[in-house]
Amino acid sequence: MGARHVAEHFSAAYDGELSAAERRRYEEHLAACAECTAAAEQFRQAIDAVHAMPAAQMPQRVVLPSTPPQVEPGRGLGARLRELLPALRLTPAWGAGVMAAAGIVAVVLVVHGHSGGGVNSTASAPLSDQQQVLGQNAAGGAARKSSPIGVGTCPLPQAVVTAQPGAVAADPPGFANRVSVGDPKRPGQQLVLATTSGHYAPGSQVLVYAALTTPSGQHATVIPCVTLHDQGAVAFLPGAGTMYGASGGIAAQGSSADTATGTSNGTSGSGSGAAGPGSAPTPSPQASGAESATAMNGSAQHPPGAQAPAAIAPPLAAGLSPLQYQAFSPYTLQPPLAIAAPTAAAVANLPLQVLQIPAGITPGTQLRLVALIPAGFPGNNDSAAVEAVLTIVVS
Amino acid sequence: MDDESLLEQARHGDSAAFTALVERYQDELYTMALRLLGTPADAADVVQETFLRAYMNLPKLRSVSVRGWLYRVAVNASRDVQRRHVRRPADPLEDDDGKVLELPSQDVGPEAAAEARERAEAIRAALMGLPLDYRVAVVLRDVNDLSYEEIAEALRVPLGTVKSRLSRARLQLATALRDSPVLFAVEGHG
Repeated sequence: MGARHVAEHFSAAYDGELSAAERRRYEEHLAACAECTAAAEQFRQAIDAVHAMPAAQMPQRVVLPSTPPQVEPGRGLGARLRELLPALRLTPAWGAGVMAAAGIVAVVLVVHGHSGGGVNSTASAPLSDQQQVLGQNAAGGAARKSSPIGVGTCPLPQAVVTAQPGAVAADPPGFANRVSVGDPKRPGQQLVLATTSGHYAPGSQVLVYAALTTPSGQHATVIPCVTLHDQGAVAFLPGAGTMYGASGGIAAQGSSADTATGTSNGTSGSGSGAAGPGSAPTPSPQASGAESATAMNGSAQHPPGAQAPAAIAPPLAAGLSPLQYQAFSPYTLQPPLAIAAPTAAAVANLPLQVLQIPAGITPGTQLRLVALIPAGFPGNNDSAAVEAVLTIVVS
Repeated sequence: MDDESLLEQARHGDSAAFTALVERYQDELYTMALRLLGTPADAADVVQETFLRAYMNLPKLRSVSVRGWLYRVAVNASRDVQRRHVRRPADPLEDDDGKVLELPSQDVGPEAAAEARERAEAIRAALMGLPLDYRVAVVLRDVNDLSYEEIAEALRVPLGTVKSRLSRARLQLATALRDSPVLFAVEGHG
């Protein structure tokens, strides 16, 4: 090391990581260099002081989903899904043909989402390589060849689970930001949409609980597709052009203006009020279309460079049967910012999904999580569509 | 019971085993996040998020080092929080209610307690002055006592990167603390 000072070796020397030869040269230098000797001593004191800081204790309990993780030994999710398929009707992300072959009731609505700067699909989430995405596994080859679950594909609903009564908790602990919606045409059913917090950072992941629960004795629980939208962008428009839920809060879809919209049950749970302002469960009469709703909120709610989503109609060309198309005909779907993907935990009886807040969203922006059960699900063509909306704030 | 056995049981649906892992690691992860981020609320958020992610990813957590994986997730969660705060840097004096700066012992005199608090605040400020990557390296090594190899695994960076980051981070930290007279009261143990 000669005349060169040896500060770059302080760290390795502190940890005893210098080789014997390095250490000998290091010590020779220190013996001859008062400056380095003083600096090394000061270095040691500083790092010692960091070591001497006391350990801290986690001040609160870690909250976990109440249902134990349902994982069986030595078997992949794919195998489990195939086994569950008779009970668990999964919609592939693409391809009505696959569904028809499987005799699956649910239909697929293909949405061409915008993909402006900063908008990430769920599939590109940091954890996505560690998370099982139900749709991808269940859909088989057809889905794998197409785009991954995320912006652009939203199975509606995600699954219909023929569950034992009470298998799905209607009130999951830890999910305080919660909304519950009922509809007169769906007696005894509650669409629950909940998150663990009302505030999320750009790019962070949101754990979503979403389920249409049914009273004991009925056989199905529906896990809805959950989408993330700009505050002003409405997810679904009735054909007449009346808009619901532009101000956030709860909106439930009726087939006409004088039909009960299903908001009568209102919110329940303590957390929903904290989700943000504008949670009044009212239609937004002043808004006459999706574009004006988007404009109301300005471009600040979009990532830089992203286009405001435009409303698009359900694609007739998607291979839907007339009956299936009818189920969607009252709606126009807004391209969402993100679409939730079920986690592996959702396979059994915990309807947990994950979606990612786009990284480019400006902090302070209010976003809306929308869970939608189309009319006729599950298994009853008379039942009304029901929609739950939860406001979250990007912070 | 070792981590891997607990993980295996948790993967078979034993929530008590997962809880045992939480109890085993929550304090050290909290300490890490507290030193990285500086505020208890953020640190608690990081720990909560870490275990939630771990829980949800149980099916994929096969043959991994539980500790290394948890640290990796916690560091990433801390980065998320840090990013959130870029526009709103935390003011250490504003929300400091004493919880930020744990006192080493309750039975020291008020003078010693004040000195300890002053020292802790000096270190905190010096840490917060480091770039995040450097701060992570110092905290994992000097607060959480991870080995170089464990840090490399947790951060998924080469060993050489760990060494060079740690070296630069510690030098910068020592420089920042050079003018803190409180340090001279510290009895070294290294």
